[in-house]
Amino acid sequence: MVRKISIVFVLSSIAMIQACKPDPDMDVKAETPLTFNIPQGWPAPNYNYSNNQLSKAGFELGRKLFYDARLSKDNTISCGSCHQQFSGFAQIDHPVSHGINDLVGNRNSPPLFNLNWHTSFMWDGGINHIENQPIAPIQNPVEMDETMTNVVTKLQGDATYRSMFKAAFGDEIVNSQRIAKAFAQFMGMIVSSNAKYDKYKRGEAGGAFTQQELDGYNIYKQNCATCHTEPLFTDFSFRNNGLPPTSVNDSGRAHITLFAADVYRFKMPSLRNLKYTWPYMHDGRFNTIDQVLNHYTTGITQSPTLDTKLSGGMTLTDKQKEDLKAFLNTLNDEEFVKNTMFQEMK
Amino acid sequence: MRFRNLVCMKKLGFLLLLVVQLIACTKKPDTIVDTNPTGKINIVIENYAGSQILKLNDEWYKNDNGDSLQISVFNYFISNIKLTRDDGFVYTEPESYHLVRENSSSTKSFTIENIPPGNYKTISFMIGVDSTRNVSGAQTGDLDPNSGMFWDWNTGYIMAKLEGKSPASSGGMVLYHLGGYSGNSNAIRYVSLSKDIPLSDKQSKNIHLKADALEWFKTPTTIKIKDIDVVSANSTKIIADNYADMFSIDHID
Repeated sequence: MVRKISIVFVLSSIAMIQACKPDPDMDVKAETPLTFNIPQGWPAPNYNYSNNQLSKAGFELGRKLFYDARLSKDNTISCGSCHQQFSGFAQIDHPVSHGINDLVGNRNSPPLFNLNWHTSFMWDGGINHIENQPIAPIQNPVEMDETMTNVVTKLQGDATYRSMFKAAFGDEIVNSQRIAKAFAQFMGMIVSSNAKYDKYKRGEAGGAFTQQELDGYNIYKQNCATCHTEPLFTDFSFRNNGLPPTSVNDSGRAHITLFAADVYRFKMPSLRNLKYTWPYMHDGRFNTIDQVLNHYTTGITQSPTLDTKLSGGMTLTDKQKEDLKAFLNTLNDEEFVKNTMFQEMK
Repeated sequence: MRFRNLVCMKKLGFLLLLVVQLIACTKKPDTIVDTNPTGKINIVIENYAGSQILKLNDEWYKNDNGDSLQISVFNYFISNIKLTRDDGFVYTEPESYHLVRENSSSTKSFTIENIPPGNYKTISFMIGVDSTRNVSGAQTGDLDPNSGMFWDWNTGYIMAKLEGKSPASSGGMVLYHLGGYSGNSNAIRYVSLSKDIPLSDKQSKNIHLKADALEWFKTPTTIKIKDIDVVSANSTKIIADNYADMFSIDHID
């Protein structure tokens, strides 16, 4: 009898403890959590969602925002217009992209991947946080030319959005902070880490390098690795790589810092996914990798802010260039450009 | 008999535990009754142009250099408010970010609650937004970037903004947007004002602050509008040094 009561008591206690938990249906954010995975062997990311709880609902909201042309003044241009997945979220064949009313800026649309490791954004690094990135193109007069205030108003008037904000943040309130956090959930989740190179490093099937690729890897290590550092293939620094200034005379990083030492310095781009992201350089002046390599061997323009490592240019034989190109090809991640998770929702 | 008693006691104990569990499950009331004595302080701000109360788009004022100007926008952040008591205790307002806009009366007063009583001697705060919030991603409330006090292309808050017109300006306009949170273009300035502010339990006190827009043009540097009609990175420090002393305590009641 005593034992029976004890058992009943224990069971009832368990039931009670269960009853104390919040109703799972009410806890929308925790309903479908999403995990940000750090690829094996990679450093800790700069942005880790500690102030932005990742969820399927938040990610889906960010994805909808990314592909929504209503974020532009005349409802014609979305983020996805100039950041196309098949192009590594850059825009192929466009030295500079067309914004609203076909206006153009001065810089090449950068690819979007592995953004959570970035310490700054834009070619001049003017944006200091991933959550502050989307507002810049949205409000730029030659890009989407909309105000964030109007974006909030447009989304508040849309019942689908209101329900998506509720699913992501617990209630229907739309504000610029939530928009920014949803964007960071989508864009930060865009990770490219399944190129042949990655499989080689992880010792996975499909990762066996050919002799030429191995030779190219060594040439990369000798000539490129200091600035295009593994595994992200950028050190996120700002450097002048000796491009002759054009009539635009873009001062680059100095536009932000106003330091003379930063004139013509631009943020180091990654060497990943080059197959999809041409043209190259901050102004998209080179269409091919050959042109880029020729720049480094014979095209360096001397100037006071030229990176000291490039003052003598690179010395590469034709064979070394071919080997290097073979290695760079191992950095193209086909799974990433075809990942349905990042596509516009049908 | 003894056995039955034992069972009964167990039953009783079980019921008691059940009750305890049920009580434990009851939702706590939303307002926590706090027995600690506290008072509150209302910060009430009046913007001035010299000795006159500032009127936007209306009066013509003369700066220290004798330049005529009319003011159309006068906005600034007050943040990190601290109150120091005579015994050394410092009260720090949590989430202390206030955007003051001359054209919005509701932004010119706000209340700080739950302040432990005592004889406060000093109120100190920052003109601008601390560097931490400039580098911590998307903010909301008074720090929402939609306030017009945020640079989107070069992340950071405009700490203070004065716009207007002047015949001394070559373009006719005066555009002083002061931003930047580090180095030479740091527009953050610290203010510390002393006055006896006795605060007792459940008491509400008003601190009336005056902010003089014309201080932007004088001490330590007299500004000629023909030289600085639009603030550049080079003139940020000069103007910010000038506005550092634009506040004073008018009175306390």
